[in-house]
Amino acid sequence: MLRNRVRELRARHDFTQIELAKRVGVTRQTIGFIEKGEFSPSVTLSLKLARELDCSINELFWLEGEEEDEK
Amino acid sequence: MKNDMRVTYPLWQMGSIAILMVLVFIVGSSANFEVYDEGGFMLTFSLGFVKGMTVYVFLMLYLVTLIAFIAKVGKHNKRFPLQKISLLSLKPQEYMDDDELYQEVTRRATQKVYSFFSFALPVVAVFFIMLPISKVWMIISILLLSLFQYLIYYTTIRKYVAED
Repeated sequence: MLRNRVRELRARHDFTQIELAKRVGVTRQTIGFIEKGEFSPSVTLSLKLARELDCSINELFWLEGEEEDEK
Repeated sequence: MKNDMRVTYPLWQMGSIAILMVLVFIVGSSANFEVYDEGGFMLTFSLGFVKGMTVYVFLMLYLVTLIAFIAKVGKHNKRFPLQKISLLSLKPQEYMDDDELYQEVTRRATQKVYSFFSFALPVVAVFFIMLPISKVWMIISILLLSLFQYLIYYTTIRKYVAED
């Protein structure tokens, strides 16, 4: 399962889900489902999100289980 | 997604199909079809008061549903000019491809419908061949399959559009 820090980084940038959705060209629901981990975005959308949230794609998304390895 | 008619479109279809099923059953079971040896045929309907009134009520219900549906489509097209519903298009109007989430949701829903038909159609075909089923029940069975198709589609997409 794909884990992510979209919610955390979005809050750090003071973006609402709607604002972030507009910036990357998707619906608010898409951001919501990504944050909940119920939808895995495409590489293109992941790159757009990383760009808007000022981080690398590796900081934004990781596979479940790999989180512990990194720590 | 609130008030987006592409979401409620399957419900309208299911309602219309349910009304049609009642009409097909009553009219079909009241029809008598005779073919003459010398050529030609005669189709007669014998509807009593109760059946006649039921047909009348359901025809009116169908008409009201149709008018309400067309009015709703008009409202939707005004509210969502980029996602217009066209009654003349061959593409199923319930498809949503606003972004990659909805493309994925539509894919999942249509995949479930495809799986349903790949199982249900052969089963129904076997029943039609093996059992002495009348044309009325054949039509009702096809309408029932169509109703299930919309039910599967709607229950799949509902989770993704309910959060507003």
